[in-house]
Formats: sequence, structure tokens, C-alpha cells
Amino acid sequence: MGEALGYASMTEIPVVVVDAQRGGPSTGLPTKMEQSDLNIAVHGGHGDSPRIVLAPASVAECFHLTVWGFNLAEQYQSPVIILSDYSLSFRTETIEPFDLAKYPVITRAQPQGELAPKEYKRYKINGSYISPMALPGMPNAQYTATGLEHNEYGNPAYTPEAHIQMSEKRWHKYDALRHSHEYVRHFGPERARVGLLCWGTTAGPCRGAVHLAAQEEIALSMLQVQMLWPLPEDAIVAFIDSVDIVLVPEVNYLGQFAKLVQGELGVRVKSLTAYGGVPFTRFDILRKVHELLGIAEPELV
Amino acid sequence: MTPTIPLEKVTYKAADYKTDLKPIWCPGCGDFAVLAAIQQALVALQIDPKDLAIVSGIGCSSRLPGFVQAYGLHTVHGRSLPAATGLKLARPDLTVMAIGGDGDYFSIGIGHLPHAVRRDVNITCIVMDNEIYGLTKGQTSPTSPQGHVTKSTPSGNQAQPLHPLAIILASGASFVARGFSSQPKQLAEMIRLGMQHPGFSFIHAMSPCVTFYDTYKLYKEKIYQIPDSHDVRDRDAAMRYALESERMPLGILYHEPSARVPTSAAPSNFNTLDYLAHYQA
Ligand SMILES: Cc1ncc(C[n+]2csc(CCOP(=O)(O)OP(=O)(O)O)c2C)c(N)n1
Ligand code: SF4
Repeated sequence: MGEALGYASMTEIPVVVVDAQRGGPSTGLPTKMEQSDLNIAVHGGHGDSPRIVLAPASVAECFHLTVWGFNLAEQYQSPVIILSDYSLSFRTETIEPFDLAKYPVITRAQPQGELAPKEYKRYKINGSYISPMALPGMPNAQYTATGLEHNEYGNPAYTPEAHIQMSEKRWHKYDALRHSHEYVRHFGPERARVGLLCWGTTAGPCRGAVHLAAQEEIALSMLQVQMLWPLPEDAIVAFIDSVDIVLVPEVNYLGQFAKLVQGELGVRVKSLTAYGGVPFTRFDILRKVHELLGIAEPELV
Repeated sequence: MTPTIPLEKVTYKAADYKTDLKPIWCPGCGDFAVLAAIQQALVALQIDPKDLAIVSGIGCSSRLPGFVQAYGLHTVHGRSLPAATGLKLARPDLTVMAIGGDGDYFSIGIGHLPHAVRRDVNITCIVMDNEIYGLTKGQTSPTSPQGHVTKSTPSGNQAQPLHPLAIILASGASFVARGFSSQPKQLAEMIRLGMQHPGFSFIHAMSPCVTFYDTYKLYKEKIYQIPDSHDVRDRDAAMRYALESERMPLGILYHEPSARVPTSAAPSNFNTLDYLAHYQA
């Protein structure tokens, strides 16, 4: 799969892939959930292969982010990976009816007007770094989508100039997404002592913990990140600035998202991992918050 | 026989199917003749280049789409058939060809081959067989002879070669032919007939690699024409031709005139919005 994703990155072909994560490595825990495919979703592939990674936390978000997954794939001419997990893919939830009027359908930029022979440049460099993509059947726009490095016409080109120019094109086209505030959800107080930075279905127990903390009058907030790549840097940095301690709970051994955030943003966060193939409960998370704040656990009677 | 097209009807000449790219192949490579044969077949059928798609994998032979005026997909090693199948299903209006080498189709990609045959989607599949991996500089391929000494088999290839046409026939193919790059007229004719066949068609194009396994002389000794008396609907007889090793029969092994199920696009009566309305208040 990684090789074909790299091909889609290189040729700038829109494609949407759903990964319902289970416990790994290998066949691992095929009937248990885990959030351990983050690294391969974000980085898996030969070379520097950009893509967009989205993570829904609920059934309604599966709908929402799948529609937007297709829209983003089309708009950015990019592979999009939707990271679900076992527990979500088998879940039944009661949800609000979808308001389809709220969902625009975005299609990829296409060449406009008549093209003269040999005029069309599939990978034309322009301000947005997103080039109009011809569809078969359009006259004078024939090109070969090759996994080889190429020039603006799409013809194979191995020069340092071509590789530098096209690498920058492939990565820069996502710049706007890095600064977007669309793909995060904030819950809890504006300012808090502890902030939970989470993704995917771990958002459920995090929201439960925020609720419990409010009852105990502990200032706990959370930011659920729906777009894991490119990282919505501005929104995450603003959240980190709004709390004293950042805690990243996730269901994998390595703390993959914590490492991603630290590496990308140069900040330090606390990692809380669960790796038994079982999701967190809200109490697991609240217990860690108590510990971080030096609050003694209430005695169980 | 190539039908003669009245001159006033010739819009596209061979030059109209060429791009500005110069093939990267070694002088004398059989793939030049296969490229020319494809261009001849396109002239015979007068396919508009904008409605033509050529899908390939990886190898010297798989560089071919870049040299033809068409929409090309130069995909990853061994995966041209899934890409071509998806393309033809999404866009039945296009003429779709899937091409590549013996390494691409019979080694890494062989898992896709019987299924592409079974699905019988209207794709013309042309495999340029040089019995070697050319691009990676001469390792044995699944069609290399037993005992063949290469860098990857310094003490001789232990495995026996497979008979690709037998696998394709056994999977239920309805058009199976073999041509040779030194017999370009016949090869162009096989490709044209394959393109006119409404289902999946397979053309085995023997195409020597002059640099790493020059078989021109050997093939000239091995080849012979399948006689006109051969009944192209006789699968058992076709299978006997397909299993020959000492000699190399050329021509149409098998041709069942009508493909089983015509290819069609997604059912047009399926409306996603109607379907979703079901979930709305
Ligand atoms: C997944 C993968 N494995 C291996 C390779 C290396 N490789 C490139 S071409 C090739 C074989 C080419 O042989 P063939 O398909 O017969 O084409 P030819 O070059 O002979 O025309 C191999 C093994 C690759 N590109 N990708
Ligand atoms: S290495 Fe062989 S197959 Fe490749 S271009 Fe040269 S002659 Fe052809």
C-alpha cells in the first residue's frame, strides 16, 4: 500500500483510503482496537511522500470527515488517509440527521478553455502549487502520470533542479492547511491547568474526563485534532499556550502522536499510553490528571 | 488481414501517436518494434489519442506509455492491471491498454493476471517478454529457461519457466495470441484484433533484450506459424500450443468471438443523494 500511496503523492492523484486500525504489529490483535497506525499513515512511503491524514472520533464524524476527505483529496490532488479504528468501525450510534446542504462538493482544478498542442503542463508551477489536472478525453492534454520525478510537462526529469522544484511543489501546496483552524474541536474552559491533546476515538473518554473534572472543579480542557497531517500548527500551539500542562492520551505503546507533536512543534508534552488493545475509560484519564496535579485519589469504599 | 482504410478517412497517422520523448531503450531492443506495432494498430483503428489510455508497471518495457500520444499511467511494479481495470470501469468510453514486461506481469504482478482475465473487462494487455529483467540489468525472470546463468543465478536458474499463455487460457481468457518483435506486421495485426475484441485480450509479444539476453537468433529458430487449420475456439488445442517449450508458435491461439459479460459503468440509476436522503429527517 505504501508504494501506491507514494505513487499518488508523486503523480498528485486524488485518492481516499480508510484504515480501521487494529492491534499490531503483524496480525497482532485483529479483533481489538489500537491507534498505532499513525506513524505509517503520516510517514509510510518511499521518500518524502506528502498526504493528508484525518481521524474521526464518532460515527457522525466518519460521515463528516469522509465527505471532507474526498473534498480535500480533490482540492489538493492528494492521497487522504482516514484513520478509523476497530471500535469505531463496528459501532452503532444515534446521531443527528445529516444536513447535506452543509456539504459542498469540491472537484479538482481542471484546465480551462481550448489547449493548443504541446501547451498543457500537468505540473505547472503557480502560486498555489496546485496545477490544473486534465482528465482523459480532453484534447491536447495527454500526459503520462509517472512515479518518476518529472518536469512541469510530466516528462521524466532527474536533475537536481527538477527534484528541488517538484519536492517544494508537492509539500508547499498544503501550507494553508497548516494554518487552518477547521479540523480541531475544543472542549472545556478557555484556560486550564491541564489540557488533553487527543485524536480519534480517544476523544470520547477525554470528553468524559473533562466532564468529571468540571464536577470536581478541576480546570481541564481538551483539543481533539481531526487532521493529524499536515498538523494544524496554529491551532495546536494556541491550545498549548492556553494550558499549564499538555497531556496526550493515545492507544499505542510508543506515544506516536505525542512524538509527532513534539517533533513538529518543538514543545514538550506528557504522554499517556494504553497498549492492551483496550480503549481508555474516562477514569483512566482523570486519574492521570489527578496525578499530574498532585490530587489524591478519592478512597474507594 | 489489416483492413484498408480509405485514404480520406485517415485522420491519425503513425506520427500522431508519437510524443517528443525519445525512447530510452538500447539500440536493437525488441520494444521498439512493439511500440511501432501498437502505433500501427492505432492507425488501423483510428483511435483518437485523447480517448486512449495506456497503463504500465515498472521495467524498460513499462516506459512505453511516455512514448505514445495517450493518457498514460506509469504505475508501480506489477500493479498495472488493477489500475487499468479501475480506469476502464470508471471510464468505459476510453480505449484502455495495459502493457509491461515478463517481470512485471509474470513475477511480482502475476497474482492480478488470472483475476483480470476472469473479470473480462475490456482491456488489451500486451506483455513484452524478453525472458529477463532488463531494467535491473539482467536477472532471471519467471520465463527464463532452466539452467540460465545470470547475476542472480550464478550457478544456473534452478526453477523451470512458467507458460504464461497456459495460465491465461486456464483462467478463461477469450482472446490469446502471440507475436514476435521481428514479425512486426503480424504483431500489429494481433494487437489490432485484441483491441477489437470486446473483453480482456492478451497478446504475448516476444521482445528480445539485446543487452542482457539476446534471443533473436534462438527465437528465429524456435518460431513457427500456427496453421490456418487451427480452430481458434478449440481451447484444448490452444493449450497444447501454449505449453510448447522447444518451439514457439505465433498467431492466435484462442479467440472466442463474444466476451461473456459486456463491461458497463456503475449502474446509472443509483443516486447517492437519494440514498442518503434515507438518513435525513
Ligand atoms: C516492488 C519492486 N520490486 C522490485 C523492483 C525492481 N525492478 C524494477 S524493473 C524490474 C523487473 C523488470 O523486468 P520486466 O518487467 O521483464 O521488464 P523489462 O525491463 O525486461 O522490460 C524489477 C525487479 C521495483 N521497481 N519495485
Ligand atoms: S536493457 Fe534490454 S530490455 Fe532494456 S532497453 Fe536495453 S535491450 Fe531493451
